[in-house]
Amino acid sequence: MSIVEIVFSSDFFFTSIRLMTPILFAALACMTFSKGGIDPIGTEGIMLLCALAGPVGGYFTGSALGGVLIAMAVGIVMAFVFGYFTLILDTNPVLAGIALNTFSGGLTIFLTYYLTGNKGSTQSLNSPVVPNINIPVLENIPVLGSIISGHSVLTYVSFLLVVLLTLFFWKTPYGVRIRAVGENEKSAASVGVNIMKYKYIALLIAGGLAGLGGAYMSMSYVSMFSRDMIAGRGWIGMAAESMGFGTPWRITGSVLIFGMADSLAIRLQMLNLPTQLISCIPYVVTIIAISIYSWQRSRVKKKKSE
Amino acid sequence: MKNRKPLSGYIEMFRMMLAIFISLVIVFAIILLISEQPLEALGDFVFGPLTSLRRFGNVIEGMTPLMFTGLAVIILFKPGLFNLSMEGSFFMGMVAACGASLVFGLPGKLNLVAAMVFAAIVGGIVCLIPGVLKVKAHANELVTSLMINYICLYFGLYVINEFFYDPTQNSSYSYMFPEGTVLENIVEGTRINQGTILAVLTVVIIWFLVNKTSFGFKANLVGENNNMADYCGVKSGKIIIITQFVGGLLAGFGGAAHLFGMFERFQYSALPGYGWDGVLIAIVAKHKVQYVPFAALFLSYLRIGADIMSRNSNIPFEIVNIIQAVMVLLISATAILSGVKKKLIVKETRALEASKEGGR
Amino acid sequence: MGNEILRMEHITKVYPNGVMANKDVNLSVMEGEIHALMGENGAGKSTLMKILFGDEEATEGKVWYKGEELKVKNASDAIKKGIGMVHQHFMLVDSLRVYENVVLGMEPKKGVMTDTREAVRLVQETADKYNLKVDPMAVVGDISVGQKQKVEILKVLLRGAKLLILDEPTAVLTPQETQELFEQLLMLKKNGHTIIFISHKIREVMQICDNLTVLRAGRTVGSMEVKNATEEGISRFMVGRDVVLKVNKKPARFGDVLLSVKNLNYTNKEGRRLLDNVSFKIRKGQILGVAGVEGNGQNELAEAVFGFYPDATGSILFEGSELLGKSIKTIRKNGLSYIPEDRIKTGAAGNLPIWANLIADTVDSPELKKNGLLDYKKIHERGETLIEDFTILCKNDEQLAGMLSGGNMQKVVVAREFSSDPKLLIANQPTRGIDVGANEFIWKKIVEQRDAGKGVMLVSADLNEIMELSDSILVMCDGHVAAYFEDASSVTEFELGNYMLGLKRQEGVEE
Repeated sequence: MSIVEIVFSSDFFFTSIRLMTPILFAALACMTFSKGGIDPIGTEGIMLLCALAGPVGGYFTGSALGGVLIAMAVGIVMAFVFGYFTLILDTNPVLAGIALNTFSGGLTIFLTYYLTGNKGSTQSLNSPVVPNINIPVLENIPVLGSIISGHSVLTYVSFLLVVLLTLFFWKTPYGVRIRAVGENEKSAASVGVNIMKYKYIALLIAGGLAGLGGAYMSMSYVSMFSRDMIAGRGWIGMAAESMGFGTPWRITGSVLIFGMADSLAIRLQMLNLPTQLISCIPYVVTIIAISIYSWQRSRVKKKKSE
Repeated sequence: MKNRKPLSGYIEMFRMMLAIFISLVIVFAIILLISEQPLEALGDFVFGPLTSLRRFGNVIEGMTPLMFTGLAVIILFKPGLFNLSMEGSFFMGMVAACGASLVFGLPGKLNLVAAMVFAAIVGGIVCLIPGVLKVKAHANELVTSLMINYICLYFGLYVINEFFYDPTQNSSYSYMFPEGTVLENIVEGTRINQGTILAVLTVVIIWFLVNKTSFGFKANLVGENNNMADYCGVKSGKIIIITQFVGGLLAGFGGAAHLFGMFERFQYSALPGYGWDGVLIAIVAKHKVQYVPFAALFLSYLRIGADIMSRNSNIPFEIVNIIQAVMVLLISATAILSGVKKKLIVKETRALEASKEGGR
Repeated sequence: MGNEILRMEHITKVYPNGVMANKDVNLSVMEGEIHALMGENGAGKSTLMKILFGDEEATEGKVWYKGEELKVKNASDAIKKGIGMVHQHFMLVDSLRVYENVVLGMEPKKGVMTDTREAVRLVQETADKYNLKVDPMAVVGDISVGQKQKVEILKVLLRGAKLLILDEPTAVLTPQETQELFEQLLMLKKNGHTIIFISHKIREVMQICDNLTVLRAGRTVGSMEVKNATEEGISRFMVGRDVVLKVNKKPARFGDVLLSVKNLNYTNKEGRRLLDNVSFKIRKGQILGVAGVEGNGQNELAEAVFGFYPDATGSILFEGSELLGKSIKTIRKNGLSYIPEDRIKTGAAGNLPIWANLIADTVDSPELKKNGLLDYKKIHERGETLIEDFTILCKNDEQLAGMLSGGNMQKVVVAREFSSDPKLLIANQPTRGIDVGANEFIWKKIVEQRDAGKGVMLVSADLNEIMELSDSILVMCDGHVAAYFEDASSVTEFELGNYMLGLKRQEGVEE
C-alpha cells in the first residue's frame, strides 16, 4: 500500500471524522465561553470529569442517554464553578483552569478507584455506550456513504450543533446579546442588557457542550473511562477556536485538520513510520497558523496607523 | 523608620492559611467518609513521612524537581506572561539529558556536566519559542505553550524510541546511562542525592538574579506595568525573551537533575506533571524565590504522606491532586477577604495621615 | 419655543474624596431647542450629565423633567423616561452589524429568532426619517467614525428618546462630517426633539444652538441666548480663571537653545493628523508653557519629543543631536526626563514599593550598584532622601506606591524624574487631580529647575498653571501652533482663549 492509497481511502476519512468529534465539542465549548467573554481554559478539566460522569451515570441509570445527560449536568456544574471563581472571586482564569484540570485528574482517578477498585479504567462497570447509526439514504452513496454514515449518534449531534450554534449566535436575540456582553460589557449594559444573566447562559451552554465532548470519549470513542483520557483535547479545542477565529464553520474546518492529522498518524503506523513524530504535526500546524494569523492581524493594525 | 508591618499586610498570608486549612479539611472529610480505618489513614497521611529515615528521605528527594519547576514558573510568569511550556521543557530536559549522556561519551563526571548543560539549553529553547512568538507575532503564549507541551511529549518519545531504545527491556526504556553519569547519593539509607544540593544552589542563584540584579528589577517592572517600563527606557520585549529562556533553562536543568538523581534509564511515556506542580509551588511561595524550598517541602510532604496512606488503606494517592487544586483556586481567589483588606488599608492610611499632620 | 423640558436646580456634587465637582449648578432646557453646555475640561459638565443619567447621585439639588421630579438609578431608567445619551467614546459592539447594535436588548422576535427583516426595517425607517444614512447590514467595526456616531444616534432615537445629549460629538469628526451632523441635528429639532450639545467649540455652538450655559470650575457662570452672544463674550466666560495659587519667581534669564523642534508631524492609527508642522525652541532657563484645549495635540507633542512615536516626521534637535527615531533609553541618557500625563497607567507601578518606583529609570546606573549587584543600602538612601526632599507622606520607602494618595504618588513620579538631574524636563499635566499642597510643591520644584538654568516644557490644560509658571507660551489648536508669546506676561488669558478656541491664529508662527 502506498501513502496515497492509505490517505485517500474512505476508511481514512471515516476515522478522521471519528477523531474530530471530541475536539469539535471542545472547540464549540471554547467558542461559547469566549463569546460570553469567559476564558475557555477550563474546558480540558471539565471534559475530563464529564468523561467519567458519562459511563458512571450510564451505569446507574442503565441507559446511555442517562449517562450523556449526567455528563452534561456535571459539565454545567463545573462550568459554573469555573465561572464563580473567575467572575465573582476574581481568580486568575489561567490559574483556575490549571486547578480545574488538576482537580479533575485527581477526582476521576479517586472515584474510579472507589467505584471499581481499579485506578486505570471503568471497564468493569460495563457501562452502556452511545450507539452508532447508519443514515438511511446517505449510506448507499458510494464512497461518501461509507465515510459519513455509521458514526456515533453524538458525532451527528456535534454537526447538528455547529448549525444550531450558528443560528443561535447570529440569529437569536439571546445569542447576539451573549456576543455583545462578551465583547463590550459597557455597551451591552448601557442598553439595559443584564450582563451576568447572559454570562450564565454562556456558561450553561459551554458546560453542556464540554459534557457532550467528555461523554463521547468514554461512551462512544471507547466504551469506558480511562485515566487522563481527554489527553489535551480541551486545549486543542482552544487552539482550534482561536484558529477558526470565532465562526463555527471555520472552527469546524480547523478541527477537521486535527482529525485528519490524528487519523494520518494512525494509518502511518501501519507503514512503520515513526508515529510519534507524526503525532506532532497538528500541534506544529496550530502554532504556525496562530502565529501567522496573529502576526498578520498586528500588521493590519499597524498599516491602518500609517 | 522601620515600622511594624500593618495588619493589611497579613491578609494575603491569612488567605493562604485559610486555603490550606479548607483544602485539608475537605480531604480529611473525604478520608473520614470513605476509609474503613479513618484514623489510621489520617495518621499515615499526616505523620507517615516522619516515621522512618527512608520515608523522610523520600520527602527531601521529591523536592528537587518541584524546586526547579517552581523557580521556572516564577521566572516565566515574572514579566506578566502565562507561558506554560515548563512542563514540556522539563520533559525535553530529561530526553536531552538521556540522549546527551549516551552520545557525548565524555569521561567521568564531565559527561554528567555536559549532559545537564545540554538539557538546560534544550529546555531553554522550548520555553523561548512561545516567548518569541508572543513578542514578534503577538501570538497568545498560553495556546502556543500548551501545544508545545504536546510536541515535546511526542518528539521526546520519538527521540527515545528511535535512537536510545534498549531492546533488552520489555518497555520502551532507554539504555542505561554511562557509568558516572549519575548524581551521587548523599545520605545513606535514602535516595537523597546531589540534585537536592543543586536545587538549593539554584534557588540561591535565582534569588540573586531576581533581587540583586538590575535585570531582575526590570523583569519585575515589565510584569507590574509594561507601559511604565517602556517609558522608563526598559525594552520590555527583550526582557520577556530573556526571562522565558531562563525559565526554560531552569525547567530543563531540573529535568536532568531529576533523571540523573532518581533513575538509571529514561522510562517515562507521558508528561510527568512536575511543570504543573511548579504553578502551585510558585503560588504557595507567593512568587518569592526564597520561599520555594518551603513550598516544595510542603507539597512533597503531602505527596509522600498520601503515598504512605494509599498503600495502607483504600484512599488513592490522587487525593493530593484534589488538595492541590483547591489550594490553587482559593489562594488565587483575590476577591476573598479583599473587602476586609481595603477597609484595613483605608483605616491605616487615615491613621497615618492623622499622625503626620499632628506631628507638624 | 415650547415649555421647559428639563430643569436642574442647585445641583451640588461632592465626591467621597472631597472633590467638589458641581457647586450650585443650574441648567434649564426648553423643549425643542438645541442647548449648548460649555466649559473647559474639568468644569463639571460630565458630572452634571452623570447625575442626570443616574450614574452619580447629587449631594444636593433636584432635577425636574417634563414638570415632574426625575429620579433615575441607571442609564436604562433614563432611556425609559425618554432621555438618551450619545457618548464621546462610542458604546458599540464592533463585531455586530449596525442593525444588531441599534436593536440590542429590544430585538423584534419571530418565535425564538430575531425578526431580522423587521429589525432592519425599523432601523431603515428611522434612518430615513432623520436622514441618517447608514447601511443597516454593515459590520460596525468596518464603518467610519462619523457613521458610528449615526448608529449611536439611531440607537437613542429608536428607544424613543425625546431629549438627546451629545457629548462633544464633533471632537472625533472631520469638518464635512460635522456639517452633516449639524443638518441632522436641525432635522431632529424640527421633529420636536430637544438636544443638549456639549462642546467647547464656540463657532459650532454659534452655528446651531439656541441657548447656551457655561460651567467653570463646577459652577454655572451664566446662560444666554446665542443670538445675543458674541464669540469674545463666550470665550471670556469660558476661560476666566480663579487664581487659587500663586508662585513667586525671579525674572527669567534665557541661555542657549536646548531643544529645537522643526516641522514635526504625526498622524495616528485612525489617520487623524495630531501634529501638524509644529516648530518651536526651548532655551536654558526657560519654562515653555504649551497651552490648548485638551485633545489639540499638546499631549502628542510632549510624547513625540520623548520618543513615544518613532514614526513621527520632522526633526527634534537636542543640543545639536537628533532625537527623532531614538529609543526612550537614549533620549533619557541625553538628559531629558518626563512626567507623564497619567501617573497610574504610565507614571508608577502601584504594586511596587516606593523605592522601586523611584529608581525605575536609573536602575542601571553604577551609583546604585556594588560589584555589579544592586546595592540596597544606596537604593534606600536615595529613596529616603527623595521622600524627604519631596515631602512624600508615607510610612517608609517599602510602602507600595499604589497605597499613596494621588498627590503623594505624583510626588513619587516627580521625584524620580528630577532625580536624574535632567537638562530638559517635560512635564505633561504635572499637577492634575492632586491636592493644593502637592500642587504648590511641584510648581516650586519646576521653578527651581528653571532657575538652575535647565529647560522645562510644561504641558497643561489648566490655564492658571500655564499663566503662573510659564516664561513663554505656545498655544496649540487642532495639532498646529496657533500662537507663540515670547513673553508670557504680555498676554492675558482672554487672548490665549481666543487662540485656544480657534477664533484667532497668529500669522507666520511656523518659523
